[in-house]
Amino acid sequence: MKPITWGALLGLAVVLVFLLSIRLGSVDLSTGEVFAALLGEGDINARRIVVELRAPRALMAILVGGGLSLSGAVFQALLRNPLAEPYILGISGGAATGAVLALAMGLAASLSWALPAAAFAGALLAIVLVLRVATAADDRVDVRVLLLAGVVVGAFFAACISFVLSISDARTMRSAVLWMMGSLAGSDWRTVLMVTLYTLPAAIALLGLARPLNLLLIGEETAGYLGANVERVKRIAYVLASLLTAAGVAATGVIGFVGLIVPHSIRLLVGADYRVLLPLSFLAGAVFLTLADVVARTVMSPAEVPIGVITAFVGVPLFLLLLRRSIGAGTGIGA
Amino acid sequence: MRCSATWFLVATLVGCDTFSGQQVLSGADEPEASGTSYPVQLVDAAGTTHTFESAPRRIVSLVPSATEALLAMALANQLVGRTDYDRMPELAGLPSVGGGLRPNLEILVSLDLDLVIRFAGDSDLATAERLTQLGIRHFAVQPDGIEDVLTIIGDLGRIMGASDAADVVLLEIRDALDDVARRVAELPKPRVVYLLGGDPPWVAGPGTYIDELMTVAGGRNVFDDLDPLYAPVSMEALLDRDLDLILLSDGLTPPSPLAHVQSAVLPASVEIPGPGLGRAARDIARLIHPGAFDSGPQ
Amino acid sequence: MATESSASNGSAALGATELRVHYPNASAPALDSVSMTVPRGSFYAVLGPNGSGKSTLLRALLGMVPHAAGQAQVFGRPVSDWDRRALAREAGVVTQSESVAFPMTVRELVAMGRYPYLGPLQSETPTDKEAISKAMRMCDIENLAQRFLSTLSGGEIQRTRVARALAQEPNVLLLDEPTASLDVRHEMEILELLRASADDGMTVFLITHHLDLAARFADRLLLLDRGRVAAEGQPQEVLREETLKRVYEWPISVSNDPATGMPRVTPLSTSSGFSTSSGSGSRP
Repeated sequence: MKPITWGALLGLAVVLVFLLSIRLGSVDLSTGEVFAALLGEGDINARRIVVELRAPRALMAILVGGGLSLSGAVFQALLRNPLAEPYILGISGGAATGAVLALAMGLAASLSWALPAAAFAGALLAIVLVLRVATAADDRVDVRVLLLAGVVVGAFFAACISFVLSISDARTMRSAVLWMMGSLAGSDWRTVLMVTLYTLPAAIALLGLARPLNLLLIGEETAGYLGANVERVKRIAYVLASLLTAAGVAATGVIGFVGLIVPHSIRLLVGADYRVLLPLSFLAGAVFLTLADVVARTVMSPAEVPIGVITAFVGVPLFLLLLRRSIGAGTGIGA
Repeated sequence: MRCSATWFLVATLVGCDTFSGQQVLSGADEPEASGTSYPVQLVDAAGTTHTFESAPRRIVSLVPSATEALLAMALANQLVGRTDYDRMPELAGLPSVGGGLRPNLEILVSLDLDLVIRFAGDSDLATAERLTQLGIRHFAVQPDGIEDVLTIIGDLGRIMGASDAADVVLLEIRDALDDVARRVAELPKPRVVYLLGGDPPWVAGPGTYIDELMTVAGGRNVFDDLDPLYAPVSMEALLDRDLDLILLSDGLTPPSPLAHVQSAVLPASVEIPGPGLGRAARDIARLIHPGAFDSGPQ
Repeated sequence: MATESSASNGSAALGATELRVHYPNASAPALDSVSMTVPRGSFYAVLGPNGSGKSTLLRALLGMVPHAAGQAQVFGRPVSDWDRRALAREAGVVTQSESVAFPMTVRELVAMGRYPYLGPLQSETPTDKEAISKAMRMCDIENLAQRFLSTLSGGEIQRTRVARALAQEPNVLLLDEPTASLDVRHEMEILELLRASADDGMTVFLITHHLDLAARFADRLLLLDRGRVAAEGQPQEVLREETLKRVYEWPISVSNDPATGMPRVTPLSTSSGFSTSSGSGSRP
């Protein structure tokens, strides 16, 4: 019953961390003021801060942190590679290219949703391109080709970004770099709703793929002999995990480390059964990113530390600790 | 996701409707009579029309030029916050909202503001939108050239009910510019460049504030044929264009291949468009045409 | 040496009729007009040189590679008619090799054999647990249940994989060289386990290199040569010197092993000075 205990603990942690996230911020509000604001009473500015600024931001952190961890876990199974993470197949490159182009062409000036839309479009381009390259004539997806194509496409997009930045003005460059560092600062209720619309269905569908993903871990051939429709599973897993990532990146920029570290950490704690790994990764990722965001916006207030810095500074030592413990216990990270 | 979070989301979305912002200012004390009659209506640099029923009392300016303009018009009392880049002693005691781009929204909200002065253009569209969502009025300014500065001063004067103070500042600037123009009118124009550092070095091109100042000061920007604003150029281009004077941003030294050219360092304040532009023009003119300033005070 | 017609023979577990498999970009077909039958409940061994198509045959029989021509049947039905999960409940496969991407325990690996019986999020029922325990008992790995795969020896891993196939509670077991890197004891243990299963009614389809052991344990043999059937039938019929010499392109001597009563196959040396004590037939 240990996984259930973990699940309950993490579920509780999500709620607690959400409350913490709306309690803390650049402006000092007491717990009483925060609760009053939630109920729609009290000072109007406190209400604005709690309900318009902190609450959607906390929810976004939950959605994106959970989504990135989930898709990281799925990619690790799909590519059978412990180094896999959501951005390994060029999705972040495509999204960043879309965003940078939108900034450079001044599109972001006329339409405020142009930037996330362009980022999403760029991500979709990468997703489709990589899948096409990796699909052989008989419609089978070779995951080794998928990995290679993803890395190469990502590198291509990185070059595109460098080029566009090199010929753009200082303001564009600054905006682009800030976007690529990732930030939850722009989270409002509208964006939260849109990200929810992508994240929830994809997450639920992926949870249903847990068993076939377990089979993929042993190998495609054996998975097929055990009754899995391997090609269909690969395709669905790829598309859903990619869309999950694309939605997150379009809304918040490129937040790194979450999708790599969280699934591995959960795996080190509870094992590689994806029926357990997937939901726990989602919850743990949500907790992790929400906490990181709290740190990012309070530690150097009024400035904000880019959240990718926090996820790395906090996540990496934590993960290394877990890794050392597990190597000592003989489980390690590879087969 | 847990059910509790989903229900909370639903509940809050419903409660959200009560928080839509409003554009009408609360009635404040009537301003001292300073040459403006309310209501004032004007269009900001982003094309939005604003109507002010009375002078805003609690302001944050995210734009250094506007901040300086307000200080020059003795309106520092109305500023209740500053950015990290505002180092003037008068503002030292004020809470900081972070950078001029992507300021800290929580602090802005907590300051109970009547007005935020922000950058026009696309460098920070998100902030403009969030301010609207939060019900905080924001006025966009374009602080790029000399004309822009004059417009800002004039607009702010009208908004704040301080047109008289604005006129004084504008007069001062115009006098300074006229004085410079007179002194350098007949003189030949030396070939000048303004370097901002970097490798390859960045220069001020046409349409920049510095370019305008150099022209007013009787010089000729050798890079006035580039694409507008700032751009990098190769060292070869610098050598090729035959310079008479290199103006350097604060803290820089001239690059070694150009050591033979006369150079001068300008304080960083010169780069920021603001009410000090009269003085800036004079400082630059003094470097370009030292002879023209031997006589006469100021 | 009769090749039974497999088209509608109800007693066949697996069968192929004029089966042809041609991999893309290959110059020659991997299987060419292969017809064979695996009778229900028999221990059927497949032999042949490297590249003769043994692994391809296993894949083709279960519909894992496309057929260029011909047919394959599983328990009387064309394999293309079978639902994948239903097939997994009938046929348990141990492939030549596999690498598990992430750390896993023995029990977790064996438990995967129950997947054809479980819905997407369904947990193991007592039936499943019983099947898993029984499979682990049969393969003598119960004491290894919580060990991680990376800590096991080659023999232990193979037994775990066989246990997983047994946990599927199949009616036919297909194994591709399961004893390739095992020592004598472990190899014999697995073969005896397979033999005992066959005696209990399981159909066993074993691909192996070990001609002697195949002769000892199997009821029927299939000898493949470059994608074609060289011989099919009882061990004594298939393991003839001329056939083996031709197929393996190596001088081979076949004798009778007094210890087992089955044919013993001895490859000869092409250099001088080697003679078999009780060999018949010529030497180079």
